[in-house]
Amino acid sequence: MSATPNPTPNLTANPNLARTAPAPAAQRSGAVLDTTGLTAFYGDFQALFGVDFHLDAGEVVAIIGANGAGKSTFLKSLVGLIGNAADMVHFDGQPIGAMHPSAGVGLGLALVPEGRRLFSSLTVEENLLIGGQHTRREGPWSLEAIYDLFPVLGERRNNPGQALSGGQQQMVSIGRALMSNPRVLLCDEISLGLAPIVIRDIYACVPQIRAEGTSIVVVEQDINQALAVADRVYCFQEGRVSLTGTPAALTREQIKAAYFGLAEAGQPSKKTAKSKAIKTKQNGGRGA
Amino acid sequence: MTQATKPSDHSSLQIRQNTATGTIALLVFLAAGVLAACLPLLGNTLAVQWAREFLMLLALASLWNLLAGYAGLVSVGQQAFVGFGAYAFLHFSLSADKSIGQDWTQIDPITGLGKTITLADSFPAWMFVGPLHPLVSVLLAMVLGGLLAVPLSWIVFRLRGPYFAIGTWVVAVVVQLVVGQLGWLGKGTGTAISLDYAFRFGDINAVHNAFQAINPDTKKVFAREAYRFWMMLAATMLILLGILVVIRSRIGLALAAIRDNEAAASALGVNPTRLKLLLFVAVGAATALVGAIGAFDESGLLPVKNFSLLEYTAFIIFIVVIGGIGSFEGPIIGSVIYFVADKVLTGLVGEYFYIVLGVIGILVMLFAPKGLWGLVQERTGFTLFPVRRHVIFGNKEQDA
Amino acid sequence: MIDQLLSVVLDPLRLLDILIDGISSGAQYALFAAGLSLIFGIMRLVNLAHGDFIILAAYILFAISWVLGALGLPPELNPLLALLIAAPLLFALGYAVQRGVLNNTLGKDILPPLLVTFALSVILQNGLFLIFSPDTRSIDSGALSTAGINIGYRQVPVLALTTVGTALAVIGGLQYLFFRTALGRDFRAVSDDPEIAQLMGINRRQVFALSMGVAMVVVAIAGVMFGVAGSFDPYLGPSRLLSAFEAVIIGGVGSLWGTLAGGIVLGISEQFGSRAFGEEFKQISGHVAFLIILLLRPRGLFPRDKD
Repeated sequence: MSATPNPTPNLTANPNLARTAPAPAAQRSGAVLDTTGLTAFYGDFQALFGVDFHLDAGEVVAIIGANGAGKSTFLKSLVGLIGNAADMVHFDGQPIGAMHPSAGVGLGLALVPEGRRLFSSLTVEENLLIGGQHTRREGPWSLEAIYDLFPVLGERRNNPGQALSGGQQQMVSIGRALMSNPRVLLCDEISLGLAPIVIRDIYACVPQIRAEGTSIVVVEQDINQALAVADRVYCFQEGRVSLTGTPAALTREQIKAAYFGLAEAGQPSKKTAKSKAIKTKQNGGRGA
Repeated sequence: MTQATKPSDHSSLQIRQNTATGTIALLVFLAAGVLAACLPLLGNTLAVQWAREFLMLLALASLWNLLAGYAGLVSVGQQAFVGFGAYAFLHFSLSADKSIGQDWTQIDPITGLGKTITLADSFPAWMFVGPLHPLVSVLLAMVLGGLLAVPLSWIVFRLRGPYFAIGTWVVAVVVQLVVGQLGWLGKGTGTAISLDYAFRFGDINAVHNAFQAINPDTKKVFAREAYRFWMMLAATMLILLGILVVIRSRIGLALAAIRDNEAAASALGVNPTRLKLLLFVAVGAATALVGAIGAFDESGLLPVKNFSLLEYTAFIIFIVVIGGIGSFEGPIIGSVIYFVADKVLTGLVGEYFYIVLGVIGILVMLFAPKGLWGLVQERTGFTLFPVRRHVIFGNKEQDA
Repeated sequence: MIDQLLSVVLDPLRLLDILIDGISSGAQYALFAAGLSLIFGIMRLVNLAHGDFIILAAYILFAISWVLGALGLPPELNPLLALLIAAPLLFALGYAVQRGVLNNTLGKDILPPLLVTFALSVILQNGLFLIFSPDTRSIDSGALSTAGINIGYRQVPVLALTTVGTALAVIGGLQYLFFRTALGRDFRAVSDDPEIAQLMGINRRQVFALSMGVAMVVVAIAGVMFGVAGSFDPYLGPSRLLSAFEAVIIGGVGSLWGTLAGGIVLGISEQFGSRAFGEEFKQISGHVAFLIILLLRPRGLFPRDKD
């Protein structure tokens, strides 16, 4: 495998290259969030194989990829829900790979989790309040600002979060994350299960959030949506970055190849079988 | 490992569960049983009593381990079955003509005593079928224990997880209170099984005669103690072997599947509730059997004693946790440690013993949740009684 | 027995007695149960030592009274004053036990927390036994223990009214804490979704420790009311736990007002059993009422929780 840097810096189309490509400078100047050789495991199962990623201040970056490509795992690793080596993830140059999940919000890193995950016994307003309750970060976002952004939430502020429609719940989840006045907002599949018109409403808020100085990472399965909203795109495939670039620089064919792994990349890799080799030895103690 | 198995491989696929150590361990286990059976020949009452106490701990600990460690049914109410078995045994030792006091309004002119009141005077005579032979009595107690477990399960199986634990406790208290209200069983104030009861039966007399042939001074009490010890030994051996058979069988496999993922197991055709119910009933029956054998004793029955939460559940839990929960060997090790500690430490530290025990229990749970046997296994990978199945592909062996 | 039953059922004044005494002992059970319900709601933990902590609180009261006596002061205890000492002590104890021990046992496996709290129960009982001896103790609370209000045909003890008032105040207070304060929001958020709650910056271990501390303050209140109301010995914890547990299940897991109702159902059943069948049937009547309700309405009278 070649160790030479790819000639086009924004384009890494070979899925097998991403792993061995030389790591970019660990702390890119200007990057508010970056990862270097990020790996992630669920027990014995490896889900990420050396992901290099960066997000610059004020940028909107989309991550696309098929189911199981490792997109959600990647976001979970960023916020500490999956533990890593400290210097695999940097926030503002600070190593945060090993931080506790409760520490991110104080730094200015907020996640809109997949499936919205509102607190079911809290009202809309309480869900929003709790987002900003444990950080003293100053910023533009407050209850009023959220209600301005999503007026329907103001009308339903005293309803249980669970009583809202899917789209409204998604607004609450975004609002909850914004309440901490984050510098980086991570959005996991915010369009999942919503009607196209609702998706459009939700994405309509992105420019406004960005205008307040927040950088955004959106994980999307909908490629068109991702290309429309993002400054740059990363495509994940089987736990690796298979393609990155600006929407304008990427062709449909490249994306298709990087998305589904149909590329000229050569022989089907053995890594899937390897990663699923679960060590059963450890698990017979109490009698199978 | 599944991905290596193609259909054609099946001809060369064997499943092996036994190991050489396992066979040896089983033989040693049986030999120890035979050897233990000879213990009363030494003629030492204390040794026989201690051995019987140990066996009771071992049997109860192994049974509780089967419930909690394998089936995930954390019961804090097993004392219900111990006490119930004891009182069932008492019941079968009674005959309708047993005297339960004097009626002082009808004084016998010759003896000057009140007229003797019998059980039949106060209760319907058909209730009393005894005195039955102790062996028959303990077996009946076992059956009744199993029957008792059925209605109790209707109640406690409605509760999940931690609430199941307290539910079993409440139910045990209710059983104790109800038994404590039964007039013919002493009504909560205690009652004793007389020595004469045992010697109504030829074989116990024969045991006594045999001991007297060895040592003419052998007392009747000792013969009864020896008889009881043998019953406890037989019961314990059968219980342990039964547990081994269960956890090595398809039931054990199903339990492991339920423990790993209940939903997936039921999707594969395992019926978790029915299996747990079956186990609850079987363990209830065996626990009642142990309790019944324990009651064959002169010192008398008392609800608070025979339904003791501390003695028949709390200590048993500590034994299992310290020894290693969820392994066959754990309760054995735990029982040995507890028994030695009880006999040695109680003398040294008195009432602090319970506190020490509690602290050790907490420390083990926090730092070695698989107990001492788990520690041994982690270090050595050694197992005495193999439960795991080993899949052999052609000539390559792998754990499964 | 039937005569006795009829004489109770047909006599309105005796029925009123059952109601009055049942509600007052039910309020006590609700006090026992509130703390248990609280920590189960937040961290799905069943504290098998809960009853023993109540007895510990009563003994702290006894110790305070003893110290007063030793200092030459009148040993009569103002329960409110005693609470000011006992509550912080128990809060600290609960916080420390949760932080130091119980937090490390929480997980998918239900066994570790059960066993550890069970061991705590054995330790507490025997610790109290060693320090205070197995003798039955009682606390002199001065006029409070004897005062009564005349309602025409009988006296209603002021203590009973105080207990009912305390139970209402405690449950109302917990409701307020739970649904009106920031800490309550944290409690509910952690209970709803522990993983996402962490992402809000909530330190789960800290929230758990605080909730155990709050539960222990309720335990202190329950212990004070229990200690003032009657005599106690080191081994009464488990039966308090069982009453508390039954009140929680009867009322429906997760509902604090349901717990109060559950306690009262339990208290009335006991009073009824004791008067209609004899004193020795008091305990068993409560348990049987619990079992019947469990069989007929497994989720309790006021089911609320979603799981």
